Amino acid sequence: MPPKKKNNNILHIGIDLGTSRSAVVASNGKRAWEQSYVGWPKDFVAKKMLGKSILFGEEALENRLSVHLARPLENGVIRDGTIRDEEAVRELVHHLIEFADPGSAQEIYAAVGVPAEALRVNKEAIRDAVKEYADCLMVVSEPFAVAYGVGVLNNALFIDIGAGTVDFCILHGTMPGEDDQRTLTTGGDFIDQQLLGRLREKYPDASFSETMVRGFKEDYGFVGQSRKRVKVKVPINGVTTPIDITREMQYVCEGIVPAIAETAIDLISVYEPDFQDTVKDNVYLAGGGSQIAGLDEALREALKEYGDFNITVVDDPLFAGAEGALALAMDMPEEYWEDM
Amino acid sequence: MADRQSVNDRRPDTDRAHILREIYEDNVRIRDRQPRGSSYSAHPYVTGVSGLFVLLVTLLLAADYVFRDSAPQILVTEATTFLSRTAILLPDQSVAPDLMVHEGDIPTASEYAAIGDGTSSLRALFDLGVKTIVIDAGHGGTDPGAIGITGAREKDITLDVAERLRRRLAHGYGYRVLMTRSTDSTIALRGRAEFSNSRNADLFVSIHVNSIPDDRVVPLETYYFGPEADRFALRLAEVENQNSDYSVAEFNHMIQRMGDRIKLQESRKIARYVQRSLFGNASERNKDVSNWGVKTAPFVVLVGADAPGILAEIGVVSNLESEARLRTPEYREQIAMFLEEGIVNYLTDLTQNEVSHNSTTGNAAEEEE
Repeated sequence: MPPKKKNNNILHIGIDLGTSRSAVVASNGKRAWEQSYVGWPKDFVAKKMLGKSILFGEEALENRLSVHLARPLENGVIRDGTIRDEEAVRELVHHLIEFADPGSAQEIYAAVGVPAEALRVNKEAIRDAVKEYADCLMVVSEPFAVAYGVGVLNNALFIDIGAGTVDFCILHGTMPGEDDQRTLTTGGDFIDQQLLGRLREKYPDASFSETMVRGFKEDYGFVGQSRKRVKVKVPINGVTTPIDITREMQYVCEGIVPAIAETAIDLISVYEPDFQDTVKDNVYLAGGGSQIAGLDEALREALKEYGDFNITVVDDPLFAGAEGALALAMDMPEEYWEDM
Repeated sequence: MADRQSVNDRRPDTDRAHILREIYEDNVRIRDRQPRGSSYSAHPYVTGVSGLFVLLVTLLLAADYVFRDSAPQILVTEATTFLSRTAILLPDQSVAPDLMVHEGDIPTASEYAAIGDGTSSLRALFDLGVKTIVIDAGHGGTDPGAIGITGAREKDITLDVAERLRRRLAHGYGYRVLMTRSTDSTIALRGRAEFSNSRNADLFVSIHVNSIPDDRVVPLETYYFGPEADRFALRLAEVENQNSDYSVAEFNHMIQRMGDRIKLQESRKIARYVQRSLFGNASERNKDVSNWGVKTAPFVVLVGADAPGILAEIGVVSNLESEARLRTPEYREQIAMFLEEGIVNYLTDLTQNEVSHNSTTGNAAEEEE
């Protein structure tokens, strides 16, 4: 539990705004996460049926036929000019802050971690979205928030495998600049896409949905040696039928390894030569994608020719970003906040 | 924050203080809205050389067949000659915008009155599942398409926009998105349609850039293959029979297919969604664009494709400013985004008033039933 600050009327909040899931952690001990979906009832009837004017996460997804569904950070960015997505980010942030349950007299100091690409492209939009609900606000890139939370700020490489993007961030004791960061678009959504394609090809009669396939990946995603067969049940011509998707799962999950390894070595190879080995010792995997079984080993294997890598999967990747943002919010000197 | 202290960091406190200050400064910059760098990376973009006014073959045919109905024989010959070349010149430079094949100009049979209202058929299609979207970048290879005043080539623009659209649609929606061409290659219209059919496309989107005689207008328009056009299509079959290896018998099959209500309804709906998003968004940013609406025309590529399909004219290279815009990656990305929005709105069955926040501007309202 984070220590209390001198001013009791300040609630520090750390938010991780992700493509797939968003999380919030507050200095009052509240923790929550939500799938990054926002849904507005399509019409009057839907609104009446659902009994509310806005839905979030699982609930929005479940009622997707009666709501206009938005997944606002689809490719790791708020698409430019899409009012709906900006509105969705705003609502999502509001929703997350409500989870933190701030007292009415409390001032909210929020630090928000967003996908690196969104920070680059949509800084202002994100600030606008959050500032409505927070008294003071800092926005940082997601991998940086994770690094801050883990407490490794020097000679380290953080790889945040999100749904929309894979964000790389080299830490060298200073705020990472453009050159220290890379973004790949082969994140979790990409894997889902590939898996969906392969499964549809192999089982043309079966019905798969994106959500379903994402669930398979989250439950059974793996690379390298398979521990056991991956068997799932899908409707084929209306009949629930078990199918074996071990090969497909392995294939698509392994598909992301080469690009990640390549980008990692790319970033490390331009790092201060004296400290390159230290960085290799301090590689961290974060984000939902880090939960793919065997990914750390596969990366170590792929990077073998460049030396020995020590690759750590961060604890609790779902909350690591929000925790880091909270730590940052609480460490941030009061005078900086006042300016925000 | 001793519990969060790093284990391997030698100077944690100074590092931390330093970093916190930098974050603060960065956020001050964001707050003060300092100009940010370009959001999009420049895409390799090849420019052309000459300044020919070139139009789509199909636009020529559409315009000609409609307006020179009395002299079909001559036209066939004319069109045939043109078809044998790679680029087609528009012979009739005087075709004014209002003479184009507007949807409203064509008598609407009562059986089509139901098209476009309600959402049942649309949802039916959605339930069937749109899995595969084929994006067709117009022209390519030896056929440059329209060439702009300063040399921008239609084939380069369409390919780039198509690729951007593909990237957008391929990511996160769960569709299989394919391109009829992903390089600067020559593909016959028939090849494109057959590609779409062989991949079992559920949706066919062809992207084109226009060039028109009046250099002051920047029309945006979206076509679908309409039912009323089949007499033109039949003549087109004659022409194509000599030139693009469709037999009349094959074409008859195609005519039957195009009578298919679903394809027709859906094509028209997609066209509406796309046009609304395209014009609604573009007009917000550029006041010079005009809405030529949703039209029907016998585009070969749309007849041949089994899937519901549209052909979007995303701008003109006959207008200097429009051409300059089309040359920028930012604008092409925007256009791809507008197309994406239109397509996705169609697929997710949004109600009309929410398709675009500015869809009622200009002539868009006239398009409504």
